[in-house]
Amino acid sequence: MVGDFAVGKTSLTQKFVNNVFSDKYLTTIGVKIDSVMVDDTKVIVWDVAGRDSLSPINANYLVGAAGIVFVGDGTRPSTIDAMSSLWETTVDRVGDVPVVVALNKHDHPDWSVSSEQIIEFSNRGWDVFNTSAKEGENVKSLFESLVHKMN
Amino acid sequence: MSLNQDRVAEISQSLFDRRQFAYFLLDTQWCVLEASNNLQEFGFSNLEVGVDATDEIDFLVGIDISDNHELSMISSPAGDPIRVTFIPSVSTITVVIMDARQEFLRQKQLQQKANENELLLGTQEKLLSEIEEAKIKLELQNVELQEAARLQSSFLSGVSHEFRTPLASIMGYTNLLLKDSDETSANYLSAMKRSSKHLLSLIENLLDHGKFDSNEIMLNPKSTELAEVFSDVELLVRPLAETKSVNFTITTDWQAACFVVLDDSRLRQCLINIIGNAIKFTDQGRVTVVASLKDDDLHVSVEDTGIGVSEEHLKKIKQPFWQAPDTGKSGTGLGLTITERIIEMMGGALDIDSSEGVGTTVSFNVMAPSIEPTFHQEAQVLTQFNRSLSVLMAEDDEDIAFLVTLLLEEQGVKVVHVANGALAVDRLQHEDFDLVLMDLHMPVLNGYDAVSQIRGAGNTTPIVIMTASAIEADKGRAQELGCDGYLVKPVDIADLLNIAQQLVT
Amino acid sequence: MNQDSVKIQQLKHRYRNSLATKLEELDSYLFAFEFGEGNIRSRLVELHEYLHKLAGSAGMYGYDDIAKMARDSMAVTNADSEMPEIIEVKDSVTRVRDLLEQHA
Repeated sequence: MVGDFAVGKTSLTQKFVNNVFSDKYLTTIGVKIDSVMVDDTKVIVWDVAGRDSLSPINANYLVGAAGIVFVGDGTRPSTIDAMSSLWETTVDRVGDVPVVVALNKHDHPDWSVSSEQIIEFSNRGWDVFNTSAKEGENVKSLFESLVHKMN
Repeated sequence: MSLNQDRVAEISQSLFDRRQFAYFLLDTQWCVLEASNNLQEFGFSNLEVGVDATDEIDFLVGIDISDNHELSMISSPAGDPIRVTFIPSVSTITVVIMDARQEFLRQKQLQQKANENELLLGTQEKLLSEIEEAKIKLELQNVELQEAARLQSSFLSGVSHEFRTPLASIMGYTNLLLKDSDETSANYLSAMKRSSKHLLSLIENLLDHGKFDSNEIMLNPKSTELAEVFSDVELLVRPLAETKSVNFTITTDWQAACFVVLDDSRLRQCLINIIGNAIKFTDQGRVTVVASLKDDDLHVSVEDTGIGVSEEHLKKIKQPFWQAPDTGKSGTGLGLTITERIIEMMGGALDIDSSEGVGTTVSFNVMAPSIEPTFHQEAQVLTQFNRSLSVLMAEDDEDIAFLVTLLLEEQGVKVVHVANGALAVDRLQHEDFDLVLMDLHMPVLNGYDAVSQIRGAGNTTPIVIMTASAIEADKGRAQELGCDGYLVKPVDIADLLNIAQQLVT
Repeated sequence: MNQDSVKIQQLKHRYRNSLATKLEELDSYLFAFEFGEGNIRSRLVELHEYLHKLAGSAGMYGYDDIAKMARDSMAVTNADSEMPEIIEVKDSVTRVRDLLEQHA
């Protein structure tokens, strides 16, 4: 799970793995590891601390990744703009692995995502999902889609 | 990072007991070769020699172990933050697990705060831009509302204007009829006139209101004698008070000739409105007006013992079109709104204090800078006549006739006034005058015809024509008929006397 | 003739109070001119004569603006020359009436 801070990486993971959600923002320090079975595949989710003004993504946490979920906040356009540079960091470290994109907080009234961005992501071969960790919207599809690509 | 096994051993020797770190040793197939005793403390419970570590530890899956590698902050199976360091050698990998709780807390405090701050900043920016947007939206709405209000008031004034003209003509004709009507008709006609007047004043209010909304009301301040304004107002409203058992008094604190600069007609309007209301809503008791002038500020209070206004209604009373329910009084509900706005324009404020059933006090102040009274310019020393002149004046307009008569009488001239040319001709047959003043436009017999009859009868009394229009003043014709001079109205009494002096010798 | 005598002040006061009535009368003449029956020229003459009266008295009482406007309007309403357009008459008389209204 890669993306800017406070976009909902942990929330998506927790919703998917444990079906829980909390509105409270708790920053992730380092990386949190969770595992879940998708069909017959055991998926180990590395919920990596978000990129923030103090620290870049720690690329050590990306090593060995078989697929990437880029997460952006649909109410903060800068977090979606950030995905391209995050991709460069990622591809350096792990190569051209399968990618899905979660545009999270789709339930929020301030949602503002340009269709150009979605088209750009699709052109890179990324599946884009409007997700809501809060409502559970597309959370399952997001992970299942990635697993499907990785297999 | 280049720790060798000796070093690891050293570390384990010295620090195991303090439980700050644990370790295990794997071969290249992830098989556990050796494990420290304290691994359980970190939750690695099943990590025994011989097992495949990737079955037990998720974070090992997919890790490249051919190189030095470190996971600086990761959760242990027990849920505690740990630092994991991979130290590969030729055929083994040492995995060192260190307690990272302190580091975790340090980072967490720092990062949570920093991220929260940044989120707040983002929210703040968003809010600011929302406020900005809302402001622009409001401004737009405001413009639309203003336009709507402008349309409404221009509609109002348009309609009012259309009403006013025919209404004024009804009033005008009523007036004309009143002049020669018997008593019964006069009563009916007076009622018609009152009703029309009331209707007209409602329309005037609507018009004024519209003008305020489109900023068309302009003040026209001029030198004004305050006493005159108040006596005018008294003349107008006293009859209203006298129809009820209301004791009406006006008290003022200034000297007789007190001149101030203000728009007297607007002040009159305000006074009539406020005092009129006081009388309207007072059925018995008194309406007391007290006016004082101090430091160029005119203060007026109008106190009545009328029905009063409830606290709830007092809040609404100045709103346009608002009227107290159940008072049985009619109106547009605009009078007070307009009055207040005029008062504000005149640099003052209106204040209403009332208790229901006891009475109401409306007070206001307006700027009233005093000036020295403007004396009429000293006229030239007027020609004095040795004897008293006698003048016959033919003039159908009473306003003019009275004024000229008075002005001449003040100069010691005797004046006889007749209302048309025929009467003048008749009068001259029986009486001698020093001078004839002849208006041109008159009923029955006009000025020119009268002059021609007078001269035709051989009368040589000097005749001076008075006419309202220079265009109509046909000097040639006047001379031809035998007139001795003529004056264009407004007639200056000094000119008149000068002409008289030349003619009467 | 330094300051007006009491009588003259009273007279001026009377005149001022009559302005409202004059406004009504002027309105009725204008209305009669526009909507009345019979010969329009004679209705114009009546209006003209009223303006004439007004011009004379207003000037005497110091309302020079009313007097001037009334004289201007007299020129427009002069029935001896060509018959004026109703709208012209209305315009010029309205200017007089607005002045009257201002002073009334």
